[in-house]
Amino acid sequence: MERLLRGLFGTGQMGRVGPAVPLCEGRGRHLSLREAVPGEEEENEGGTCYAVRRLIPGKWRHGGRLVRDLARLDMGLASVLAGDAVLNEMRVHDALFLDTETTGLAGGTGTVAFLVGLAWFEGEDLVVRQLFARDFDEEGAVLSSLGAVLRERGFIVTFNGRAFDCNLLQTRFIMNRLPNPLEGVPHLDLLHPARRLFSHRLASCSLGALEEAVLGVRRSGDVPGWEIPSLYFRWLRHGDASALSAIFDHNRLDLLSMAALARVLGEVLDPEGEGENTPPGVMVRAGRLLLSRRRIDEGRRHLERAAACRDDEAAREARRELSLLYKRAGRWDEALRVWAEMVGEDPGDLFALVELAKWWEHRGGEPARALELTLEALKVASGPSLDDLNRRRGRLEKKIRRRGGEG
Amino acid sequence: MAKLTLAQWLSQAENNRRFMENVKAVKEIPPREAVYADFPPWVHEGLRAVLRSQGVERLYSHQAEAVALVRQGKNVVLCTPTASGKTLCYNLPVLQRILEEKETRALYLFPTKALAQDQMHEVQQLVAGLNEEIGVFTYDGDTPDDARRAIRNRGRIVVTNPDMLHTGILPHHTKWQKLFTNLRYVVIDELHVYRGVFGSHLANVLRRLSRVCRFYRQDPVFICCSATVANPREHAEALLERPVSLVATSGAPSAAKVFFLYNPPVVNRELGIRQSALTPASKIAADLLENSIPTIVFATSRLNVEVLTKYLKDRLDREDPGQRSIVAGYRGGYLPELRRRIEAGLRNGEILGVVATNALELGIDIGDLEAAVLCGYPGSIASTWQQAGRAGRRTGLSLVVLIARSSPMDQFLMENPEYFFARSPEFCRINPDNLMILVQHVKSAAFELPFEAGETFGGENLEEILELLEGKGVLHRVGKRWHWSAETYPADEVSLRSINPRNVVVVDATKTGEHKVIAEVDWDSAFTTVHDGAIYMVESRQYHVDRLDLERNTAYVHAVDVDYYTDAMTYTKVGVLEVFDGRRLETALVEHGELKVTSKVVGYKKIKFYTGENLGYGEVDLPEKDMHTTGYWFTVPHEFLLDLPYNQSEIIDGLAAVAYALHHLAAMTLMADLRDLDRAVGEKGGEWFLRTGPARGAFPLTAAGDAPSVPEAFDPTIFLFDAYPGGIGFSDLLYERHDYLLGAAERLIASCPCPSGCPSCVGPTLEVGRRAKETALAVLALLRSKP
Repeated sequence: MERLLRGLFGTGQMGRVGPAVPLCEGRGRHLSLREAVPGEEEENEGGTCYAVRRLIPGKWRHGGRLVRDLARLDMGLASVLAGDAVLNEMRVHDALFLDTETTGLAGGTGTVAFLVGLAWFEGEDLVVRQLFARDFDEEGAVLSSLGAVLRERGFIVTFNGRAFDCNLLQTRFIMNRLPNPLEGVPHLDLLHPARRLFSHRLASCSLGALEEAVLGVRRSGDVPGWEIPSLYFRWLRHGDASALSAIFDHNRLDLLSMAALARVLGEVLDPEGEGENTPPGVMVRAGRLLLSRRRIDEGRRHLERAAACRDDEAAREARRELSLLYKRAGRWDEALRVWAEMVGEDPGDLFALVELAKWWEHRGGEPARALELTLEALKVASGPSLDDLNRRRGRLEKKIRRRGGEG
Repeated sequence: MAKLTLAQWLSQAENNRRFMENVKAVKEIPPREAVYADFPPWVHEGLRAVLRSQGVERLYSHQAEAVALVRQGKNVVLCTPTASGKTLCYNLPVLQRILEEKETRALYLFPTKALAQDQMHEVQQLVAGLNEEIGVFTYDGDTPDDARRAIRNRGRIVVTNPDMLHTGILPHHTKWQKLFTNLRYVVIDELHVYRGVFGSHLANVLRRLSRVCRFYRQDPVFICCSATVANPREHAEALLERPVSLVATSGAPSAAKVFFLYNPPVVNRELGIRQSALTPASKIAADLLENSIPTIVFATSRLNVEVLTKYLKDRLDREDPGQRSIVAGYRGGYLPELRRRIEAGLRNGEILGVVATNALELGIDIGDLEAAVLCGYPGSIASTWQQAGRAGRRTGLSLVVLIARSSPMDQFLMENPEYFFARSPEFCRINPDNLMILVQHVKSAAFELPFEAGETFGGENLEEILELLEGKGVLHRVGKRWHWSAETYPADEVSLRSINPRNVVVVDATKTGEHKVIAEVDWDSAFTTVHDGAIYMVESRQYHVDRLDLERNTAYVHAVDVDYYTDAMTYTKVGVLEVFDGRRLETALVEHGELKVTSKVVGYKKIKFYTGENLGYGEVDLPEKDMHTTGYWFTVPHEFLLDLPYNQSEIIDGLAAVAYALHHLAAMTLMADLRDLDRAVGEKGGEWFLRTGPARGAFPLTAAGDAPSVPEAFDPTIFLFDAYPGGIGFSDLLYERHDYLLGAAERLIASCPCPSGCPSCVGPTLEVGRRAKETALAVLALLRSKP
């Protein structure tokens, strides 16, 4: 058997343990966990694990903002971000920010969340509690502790938690035969609103990219996410904690950035907010998001502001949305005004030409005028809209002939 | 000319003396009456009504027996002929249980996606009549992402394949919590397919399934169906590793069948060469098709599928241009949409004839075919009956023609037809503890659930493997548990269908800028089918391989029209790594154990269509392939051989001839596929080897690298070994049957009517020399001499 096994794996690797890296690098000294990341043991019904508590004071700055300012998240707007009205009835202090560090990204039952980072506001400070499984047998205690913290809060805030963290934790609770306390808990996953508001400006909507572009945070010396699993495996094999503090720092920064991102996203949605800094393109998207959540008034105000700005592209988009909003509400005068403005600025604006043609055909009762607009539109149209326009043109010409015949 | 019905065609054939001269046996299998049994009293009224509406008033006796056993919670393997209503034996108890307990779940495993689709539709038809909401879904690589969650939660019956269970379901078992906590039944159809490597993998996947079921505190009942094999119960128990009850007496009626054994005439008595089986196969099939009799032709290799398809199309075209489209080829390597198109064409009658490998042996619905032409013995009795069963599932009369090739197996059957008709079919063998396979599944199992100290997983020492994997850094032990501790997803590293998951894609580069993938070839056959210079055929179109790029896993080809095809030549070198057991006989040392086998493709023959004429050779430069496997061998001390009245090269020919006969007989006695085994003649140290095949003679030996300089005094060894890395468990069986094998080889060679050796006994004389038959018998006499 030995030989066959050797045949399978190739010779010379049989006795080697772990990756071929020196046991200690950098400072050259084996650090204990307590030295590297001061914390304490926690005991609960799930067993024992290691817990680290840090307080980030309200006067600290993260990017352009004070921590105490992050706690001023408007819960009405948070409920818009989450698409869940339940958040309306909660306080910002009910929020539990959650971020896990795992043994891999492959997913499946063999991936473990060895570090569960949790954060919440106490007064104006942010409290961070990080639960660490020093080995696989401490996972039960980490999960139990997470359950206990969660009972004190009302909802969770994550970044990509729907697809990743919560999914993974669900598996871990099942694997440990524990009920999943996350089930049914309201969840604000910041990735989705962040994508809706910013993806047109950013190549990637990762937390790192948002930090740089939106929060004004630049990390230095941060451990890259893909390196984290192997650092944990090294700790498991060699008991050297020197690399661990980097993982804890990384996790804590992620939590802090999530709190900041929630606040910024809320601000962007706030029509009363210091919106001067919000780029018009983002304003249009904020308007759309609000409209999709049936916050019509606030959405309209964003669009009106964007429609009045100097950014042509954003203004055109905003006017379009706005005119449709007026149209749906039956506010025809305002809709007509916007379309006229659009054609005034750009006589080849297909959207406005078509809408005006529709109006003159069905409401204004002047088919000749509608035909004129349709012919204008045909000059700039292409693709499938051509068919629609030609049908309209045929119909209008028929109408006009019929009227001519009557007259 | 009026078209004939099958019955008319048959009576015409039976009056045709030239045809009947080559027919070695005609067996008329009479129709069989049904044996019925009543529905058991517990069967739900709604279910009875649905079955009655489908014409099922009563059950066949075997169905009643099977459902009763399942009802008692027994694992069952059902082994009855094609079209005997096996699916009802699992659908009935499963649906019954779902009607009784709404949350019940069942998992169905089929070896292919196409079969899974077929089965899903069949169950859905039953469910549609029940007026109950019972979700029946397939779950495989084609399932859209947005449907997966619903299937996981709502599917009462999930129809999938072993590969998906292995990579998609078990490693994500927590997402399938609903299924596993309610899993009462696991259905495994086409059980006989899971033998050899595939079976050994499946046994391990089932070990993993059992672990996961234990975690959810379930112990499902297994219901298995198999084609007729010799050891269905033993095979099921080997796969499931739990007791299984056998139901083997069919109560289903069957239609009349006429079975011809056809031996092509000898065309060169001197060389013992018969007419190629391809010639009568295409002639008979074309004749049937011209009479609009739906016909399936089975060929033994992918290459022969292509050659035969071309022959048939050419023949039909000559008779009636435009008819070529009524025939299609069908084999592994065709892209799925092409296969689906052919299957549909067969069902709706647009395609009347199909030439297939055993890919169509399984129960894919291809409509009613009346005739099956088997071009060459498929290698096992079970496969033969399975292929024969593809004709005449419902019609009153069907025809099967088995056409022999020159191989010893085929010829043995022609000479002993009663042996074929009376014989029990083959044994299925697996070796789930093949270390190469086992270790891969231990990794996947650890990913799914940590291993506990004291746990078992197969027959090998699990702890030793866990420690080894811990040393490799993929497992981590804490307390009494081993946890997966790597970032990778181990199931992705293993393909159940072969040892090597790599594939080579074949790209048609005829038009620059319009490259098109036309087929896929598994890594191991790539070396022999798409090497530089090869003619590769798809749908009987020819492509010349311009370059095989092993780094990119791609073969670049361009379309050509040539009058030849190519056949690769390999050499094999064997060295002994470890002897498990040995015994010294009077004139030989017989052993079995571990071997290192090195093989290399050195060149290819160009063979002309129709005549089979050798048009020349080409050289190929591909890397050697190493394999560790298990084998059986025996060594003859040279002093005995020196006593024989032949020179050294004649003795070497004699040994090659003995190896040839032994290889075929071993496959036959083991009831394994010929390709599951391989042979070599050489020296135990691996210093020296003998190249057999056409390369002996005209082809320069230096093309293989170094010309073997055979030492004066050496002790030659004949090796028979498992053709899979790690071995499949045949070698100890052969070791035990050494005496029997030598006796059978002697009888085969001595009773062969050829004068000096032919493909039916010692191999073609071109390959083994003109005195091979004589020297082989002398070597065998020496080996069998008792003190």
